Amino acid sequence: MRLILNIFSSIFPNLEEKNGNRETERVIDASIRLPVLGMIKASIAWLAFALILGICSSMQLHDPTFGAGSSILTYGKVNPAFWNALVYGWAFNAAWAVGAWILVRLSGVALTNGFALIVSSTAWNIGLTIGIFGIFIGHQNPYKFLEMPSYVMPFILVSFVATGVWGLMTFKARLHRSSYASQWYLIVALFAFAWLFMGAQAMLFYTGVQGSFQYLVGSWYADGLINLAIAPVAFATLYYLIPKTLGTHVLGYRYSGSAFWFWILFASASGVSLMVNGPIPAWVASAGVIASFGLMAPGLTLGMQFFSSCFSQFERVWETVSMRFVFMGLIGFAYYLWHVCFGSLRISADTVQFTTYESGVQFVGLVGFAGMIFTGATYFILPRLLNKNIPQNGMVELQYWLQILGTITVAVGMIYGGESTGELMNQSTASVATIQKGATPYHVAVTFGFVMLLIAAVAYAINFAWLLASDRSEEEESAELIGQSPDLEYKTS
Amino acid sequence: MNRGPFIFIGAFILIASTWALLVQLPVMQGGNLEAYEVDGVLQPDALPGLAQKGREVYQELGCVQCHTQQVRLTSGSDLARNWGSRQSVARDYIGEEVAFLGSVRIGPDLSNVGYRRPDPDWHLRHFYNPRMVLEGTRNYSFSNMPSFSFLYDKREIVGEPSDKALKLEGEYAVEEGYEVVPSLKAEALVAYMLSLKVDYDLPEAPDPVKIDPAR
Amino acid sequence: MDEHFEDSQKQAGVDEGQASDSSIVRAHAQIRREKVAGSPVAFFTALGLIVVLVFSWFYFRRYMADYDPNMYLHDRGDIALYKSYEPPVVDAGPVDPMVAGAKLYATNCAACHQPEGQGMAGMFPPLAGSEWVTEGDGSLIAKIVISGISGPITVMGESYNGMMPGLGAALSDADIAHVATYIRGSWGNDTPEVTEEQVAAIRSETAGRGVWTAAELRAQ
Repeated sequence: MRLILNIFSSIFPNLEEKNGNRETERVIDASIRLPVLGMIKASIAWLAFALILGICSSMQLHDPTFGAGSSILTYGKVNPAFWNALVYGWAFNAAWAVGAWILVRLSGVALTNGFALIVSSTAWNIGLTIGIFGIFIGHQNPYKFLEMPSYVMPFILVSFVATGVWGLMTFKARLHRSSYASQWYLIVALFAFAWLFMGAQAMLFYTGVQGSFQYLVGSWYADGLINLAIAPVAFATLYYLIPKTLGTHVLGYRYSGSAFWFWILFASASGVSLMVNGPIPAWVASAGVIASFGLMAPGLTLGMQFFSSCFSQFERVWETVSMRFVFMGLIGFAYYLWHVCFGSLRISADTVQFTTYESGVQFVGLVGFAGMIFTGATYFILPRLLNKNIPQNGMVELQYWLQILGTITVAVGMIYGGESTGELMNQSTASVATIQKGATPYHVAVTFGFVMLLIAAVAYAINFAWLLASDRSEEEESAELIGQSPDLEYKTS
Repeated sequence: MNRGPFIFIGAFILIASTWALLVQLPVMQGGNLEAYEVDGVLQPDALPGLAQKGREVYQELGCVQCHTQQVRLTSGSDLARNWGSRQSVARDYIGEEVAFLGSVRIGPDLSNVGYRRPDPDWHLRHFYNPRMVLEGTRNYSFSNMPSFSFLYDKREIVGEPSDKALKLEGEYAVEEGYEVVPSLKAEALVAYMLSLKVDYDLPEAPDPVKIDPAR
Repeated sequence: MDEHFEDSQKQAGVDEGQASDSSIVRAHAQIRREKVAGSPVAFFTALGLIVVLVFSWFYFRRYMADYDPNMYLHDRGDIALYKSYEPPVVDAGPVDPMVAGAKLYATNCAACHQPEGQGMAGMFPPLAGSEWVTEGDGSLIAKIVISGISGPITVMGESYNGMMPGLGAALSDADIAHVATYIRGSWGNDTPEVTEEQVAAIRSETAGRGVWTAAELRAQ
């Protein structure tokens, strides 16, 4: 009973107010509390579920007796279920929990239609559940990140478009006429996913595309999903949290405009490079390679802006829980960008094509880069939504280190495992099974990394539950818990 | 960059034009190929009915998660591995409503598996348990392919044993009085495997002879 | 780990906001308005753009395969070899009319007259043993193949009433000669071959006419 009361008081805090401190912020946070909490909850649940599936699928690569003879647990079903749960369950829910909050905060006005956001994110999660279930009962499609049966796709699209309309309305209602880089990226992410998704659906399942060109559409979608729908939300988070927690403006902010446009241009075409040497006209894949490599230009600008801003206030980065996650995510971004730019070159593709390398890079992008940043931002947002302290039980530490170690282990297993199997495949004509036997340590590493990430996810879930269900301390009863933010001064020097 | 419409329309133009150039244009240029006549037969020719059914099983089980169906010519060791004799081209896939190009090779490429493994019995036993078939063969060390024993029925022998029953020996044998017979799905999948062969040449398909005059 | 744990005791709590939301938007808008350069970022932005420009210029020149939708090779050397490749001319020697004719028969005739030339009772007359096939020097069968035949006809004592379209437009003289030779020399038929010249002569003689009737042919 007390638990229920505590949860109730967390969700509907009744704070003692000493003065009008942070009035606007608290009204804004209260207006979006429920949808954001819902999406964070969903993202953590999907993360844990995805990682369990990931362990099941990775286990089978080094121990084929695991799940043998089960029509549900067969690798061909568990693996796509894992990826779809990770992308649409974890990454999208986490991205839009953070993105929606930032969008409202930057607009500076309280949300009036939060109910629409609750309905659309619930619909998204229901559609996703049906979709994952559909994969297990054998209705999957063979395109990466589009494996969910096509009957849930309209469901997902409609719920996402509802979120998008909400986002545009929130942006339109903003207080300041000038806009900030976070807002640009959030709007583009909203638009890009709708476009990618509708384009891929229409071309693959409604009008129908001939044979091998289906995979052209599929790879355009798969990479676009990460680079154009999820990465921009991570950039938006970086642009927001860096000045917010470090109290400094983003260094070299002047160049954000060009980085923004170049990122969109190249990211929307980078996926096509996955088709090199494949049965589509050679020039198309070559253009994709150019686009992938081109991501280096905006990537360097973005990376330098964020890194130099962080290093200018580095002691604060380490003192702030959320910035510690975000900084690791930034390192993940550098590593991801390196592999996107150089891994797509034909000379690299000759070795790593058709190995686990590509999945490894996508995993780093989703979990090591975007996921880390969203986790950090969640730790910034939760105390503000609930007016409670981050739990001081060591779970944050545990989660932080295990999430880093787990991501590194998976990345090593998939990326370096992919490179080594690719080399062996090219240099010998030993049977694939023999080469797979040699790759067993890498597969074991991936399983091990997933286990670490699962423990981190459980720690995350415990923290979230703790935040919701713990008693309010005296300090937490008061609206003074969170101090008033000073104004960011920009001085021309 | 202060106004929303500017960002929105700018992003729309960029995303839409890369899509038009790199996805829609190639599809319009090369995505309406027709079958090519070789010696009076249109190639690629249609699959037999049972193999068509097997395609659905292939999709349902997610075989594409580990197996590609595309042969590369100028990179990799596909030709040396006898996975094909030429580069796969778009025309090879025109009859496939859902193509299985795949993007990962945990297992071998299957474009020409019907040539390499022409024996249906081998496939039936291999799907039941890959290790059962491979153990004891030359160079066998490992296979991480899952067992698809759920595509088979284990049943009590009533009267004469079925002539389709798998020959299971040693540790894989089932109890006395029982037999394991493949379901329709298993047979369809095997029919599909046997139908996978690229046994025709296309004028636009590069092969080693065309780019290496020494051969 | 202990050290970190102690750290977390100190640090956990709430991450303080160091800048208010509206001031973030305002200050950065000011940076853009005043066009303030940020030194390392400026350098790397320029570097990135230059590297990407040079790379794409190189790549566009080298690997775009002339935007040819039928070209699956990207390397210029390979493409040159591929384009200059000519299949070795195989001198097949003189064509065996029986082999060529069998192929033509299978695609053009067998649907009605059946693969063994036995025809279909009451519908399509047989060719095996038919007097229309074996009689004479073969000009009869060549005429039928070129122009077609319709109306009542009696073959080997059975009467038929059907219609066969002419194949003169679809087949060359050589093709017609081959298929006629094949029919006249198969399934127990054993009559001399029909030559290409013979067919050419018949074609020019009968140029412009429609399908034959059995009576017309018999009258000649």
